[in-house]
Amino acid sequence: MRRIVIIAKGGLYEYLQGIVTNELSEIENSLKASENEILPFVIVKGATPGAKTAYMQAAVSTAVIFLFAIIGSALYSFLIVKFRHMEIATLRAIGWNAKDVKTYLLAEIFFVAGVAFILSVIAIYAISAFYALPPISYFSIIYSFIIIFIIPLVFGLIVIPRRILRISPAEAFRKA
Amino acid sequence: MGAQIVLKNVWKIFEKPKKFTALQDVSLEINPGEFVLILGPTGSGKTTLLNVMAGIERSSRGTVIIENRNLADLSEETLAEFRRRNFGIVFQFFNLLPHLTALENVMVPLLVEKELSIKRIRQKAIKLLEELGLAEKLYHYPRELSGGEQQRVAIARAIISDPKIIIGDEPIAHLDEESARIVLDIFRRLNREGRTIIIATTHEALVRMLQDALTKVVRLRNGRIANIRVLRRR
Repeated sequence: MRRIVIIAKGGLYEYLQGIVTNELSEIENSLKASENEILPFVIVKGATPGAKTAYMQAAVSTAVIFLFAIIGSALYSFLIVKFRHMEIATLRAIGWNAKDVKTYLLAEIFFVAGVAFILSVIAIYAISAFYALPPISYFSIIYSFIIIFIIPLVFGLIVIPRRILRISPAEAFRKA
Repeated sequence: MGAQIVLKNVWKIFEKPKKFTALQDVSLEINPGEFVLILGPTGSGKTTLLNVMAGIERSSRGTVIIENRNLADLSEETLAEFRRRNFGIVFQFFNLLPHLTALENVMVPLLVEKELSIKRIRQKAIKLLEELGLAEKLYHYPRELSGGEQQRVAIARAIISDPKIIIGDEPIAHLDEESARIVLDIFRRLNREGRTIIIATTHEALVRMLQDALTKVVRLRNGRIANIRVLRRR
């Protein structure tokens, strides 16, 4: 027996349009009956190859967002450490404490992550439309949103105390 | 009135990259409202002395007492807050944040003061910039300002939290003559208002340029105080 897990009501509903088989009609009817409910996990027995492909596309698009979030966060953290020594040293010298600097940098990272998320969603929709791919599930978008904010947070929480807050203002000024 | 700044037998030894003694047995007292010039050649320990006074750097040995608080007793976090409330720092290279406007740069020190609203901080910053002749430059970025204007923004940033002590590390080193004169006039004015001013420089000419205001000239050589000349008492 083949099984496939689809993680969004919107996604499932949209992917199954036009490829509904007898085995799937019962699930489709239940989805239609609960139009406004989000069904996080639905096991579809005997899914058609079309449904599997659609699921794979959703999984790949989520993975791409995930990958970009990791690369983007790592790169951003690296750039902060590498090029913003003086700025952080100045803030410490004029009386910001470690917590102030940390809050400031995390807020900035979140802002950048927010913009990146919006741009990535626009890009995904544009690519889907251009190549006539099945629409992206809403759950994938929510999932990606969480990832895009959690990954930078983790990077920020690791990199900022370990690297950034160890910057000595006096040392940074001497090197400048 | 007791001394505002007391340094007793202060040493500063850097272990990395090579062991180097930047300050050797420095003892100095500065009273409230003084205007002190710290003179010395490059590498004589002027910047280190300022850093140790402001708690940017901890002394290796000796005692640093500012406003009756021994800096050795303060944690890093407390020290940062102490510095914000007591010291205004003017750097040689201005150290303005490049992605912020002049107005935003001046607001920066107070943004971490929870009891002040952004509106209040903004009003205060605008007033200061206007007083320093930068009313037309509020929304300019540092790259759009001349050296003298950038230094005036840095001074506004240094005084926005009403510190009692202003320290300047070569504050006119990169300014033309006219800008230097304006900046020194601002320091004079701040001193007349009751603030303690401490300027470190390599330029002997500053003794002459500031002779009407200076209370003390401290000469440093190889990390030691070579001479303290008291010009007037406060």
